[in-house]
Amino acid sequence: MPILETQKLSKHFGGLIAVDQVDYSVEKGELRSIIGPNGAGKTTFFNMIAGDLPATEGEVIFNGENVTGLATFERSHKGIGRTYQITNIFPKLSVLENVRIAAQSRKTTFNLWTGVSSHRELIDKADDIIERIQLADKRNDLGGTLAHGEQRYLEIGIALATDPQLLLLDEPTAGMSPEESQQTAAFIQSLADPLTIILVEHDMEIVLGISDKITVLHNGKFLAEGSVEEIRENEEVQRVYLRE
Amino acid sequence: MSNGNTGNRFTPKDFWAWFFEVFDSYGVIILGVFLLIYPFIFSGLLESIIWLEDNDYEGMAEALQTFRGFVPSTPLMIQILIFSLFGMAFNILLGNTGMLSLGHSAYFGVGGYTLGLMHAWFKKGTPVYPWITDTFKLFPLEFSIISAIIVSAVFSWLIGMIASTKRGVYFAMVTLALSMVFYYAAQTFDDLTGGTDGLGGLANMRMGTLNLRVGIMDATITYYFVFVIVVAATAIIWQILRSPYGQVLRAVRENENRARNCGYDTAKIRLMAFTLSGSLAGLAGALSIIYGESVPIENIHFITSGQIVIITLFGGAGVFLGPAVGSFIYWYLRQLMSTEFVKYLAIFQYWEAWVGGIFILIVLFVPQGILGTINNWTLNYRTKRYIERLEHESESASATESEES
Repeated sequence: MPILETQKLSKHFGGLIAVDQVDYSVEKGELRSIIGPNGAGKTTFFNMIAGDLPATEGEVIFNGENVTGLATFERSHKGIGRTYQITNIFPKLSVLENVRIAAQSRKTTFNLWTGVSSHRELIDKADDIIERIQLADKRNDLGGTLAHGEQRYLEIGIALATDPQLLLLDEPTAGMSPEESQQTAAFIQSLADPLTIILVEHDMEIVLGISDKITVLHNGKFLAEGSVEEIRENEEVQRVYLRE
Repeated sequence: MSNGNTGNRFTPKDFWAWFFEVFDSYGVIILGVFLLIYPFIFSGLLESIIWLEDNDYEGMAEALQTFRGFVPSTPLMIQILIFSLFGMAFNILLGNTGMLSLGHSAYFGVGGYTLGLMHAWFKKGTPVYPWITDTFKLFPLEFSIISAIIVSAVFSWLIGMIASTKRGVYFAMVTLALSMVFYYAAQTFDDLTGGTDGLGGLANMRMGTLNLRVGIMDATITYYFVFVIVVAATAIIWQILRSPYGQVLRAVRENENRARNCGYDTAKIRLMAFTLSGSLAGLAGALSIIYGESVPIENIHFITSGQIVIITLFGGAGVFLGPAVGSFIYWYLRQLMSTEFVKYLAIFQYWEAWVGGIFILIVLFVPQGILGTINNWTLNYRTKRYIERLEHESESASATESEES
């Protein structure tokens, strides 16, 4: 059974059809990529999976369950985590708090009678993740004071702290130097399996290096889907990318 | 504490070091003790004036009398305490959740009217079941204060259902508009609320459990009654803000979208913050009735909402005790200008303009508020001390190393 399936998923903004009847299916543990030129509908597609935008038509099925009508926070609890194209963290909370607050969402929300510091297991879990995203030495710095690349990592850390089964990464290497991008690619690869990852990227290098399967989105429609070699040799894809 | 200065002269640097040290470690305790003994300070002052007059020390009595004008009276301190609580309740929203409500007078007023109306209704001669009046007569203040909290919680929950779906300026305008509905309701049903005259003549402000008579007859007892409740409510707010839920509030303030994506039902979280804040504002409103034994209609007017925004920003939005400091500054300045300064300069009768001017200066130059700024200074000072210590340690470490080699 695929972990994520979309059936005829569409999004219309007035007369503009941003995503057009997309059928998509991802198996558990895969690292998939979606590429496409600007305005192809990649982020809109993500927004509909994570629940940031309601779908105009079609269905999103996660783990065999129709989640189309669920709110974003409910989908998060089902196991869909995401990051954003534009860094989206809690700028005036410390790195630890950023991650801890995400981990806390799995445990307790309306807990008014205990102190934050008494929930040791959440702090331990957050520290664990901070170690993984290599920000241990900046644990107590405010999120907003980190360098751009570090903030991108922090955002992945926030998403990881919610124990997702499916992680949607929207251009994780945006604004990074080539070396940083390579490191990030390796980091993303290390996260995959058992985690299922869908990656939206502009940077072809990254995508070709780490993806199990690539999907090309163009004008809201799927143009091609296949392994790295298949996509590389696909004439239609070359045409779309060369014309750019 | 050594600051590296030679000689025994007390330099400004020493003063600041001393100030930050004391502020940091004992600030809250000093404040608490000061508030605890305040009525005695004030009544001691009054008594010594009388004593001096009786013993023909006219000059000293007069000097002390002038000085007395600059000391906040116990009733003013009651007001300051109540608005501290109101401000801290308001700060749950403004400073911690990032919601600017311009309609908090509604809950403050509703709390006051609940207490007032219960005292006005449930007395002899009112056509209600006798068991109601009888039970109420046993514990009038207990019942009415708890009811005030419940009623204002219900109203803030209902208003919150509408308003907390909006954000930013829309939220501010919706809360403002709905609070004015309360004001006009209070004005329209004047046979119930006393209309623009307010609801007066509330006798028997009595606490049954301790057989305590509070009210205008005894400022000191009223002060302590209010003090205990304000301290307890402050402790509750403090606990709320240090809890996991309090942390979620800050996450919502920082980035609601991200909080939602982390799996938080932010609509519910905002609504709950609004209700908590509203019910504590209702408690403050109920307390504000006790000393005056009447409910002025201004309590429910927008002016009160504006006041609490000013008080909170004076002290510092998001700073826990900020509104307490703001409340003191606001009421003290107001009192000073309208009763003391005006004796020397008539222009001080327009105290609103002066307070407004100070408000503008604070927003422009110390946007973190007065307590927020002092807190920042203390933090800077502490960081500097810490770095100095680290440098000192590394220096002495390298010194021992070179000695060894």
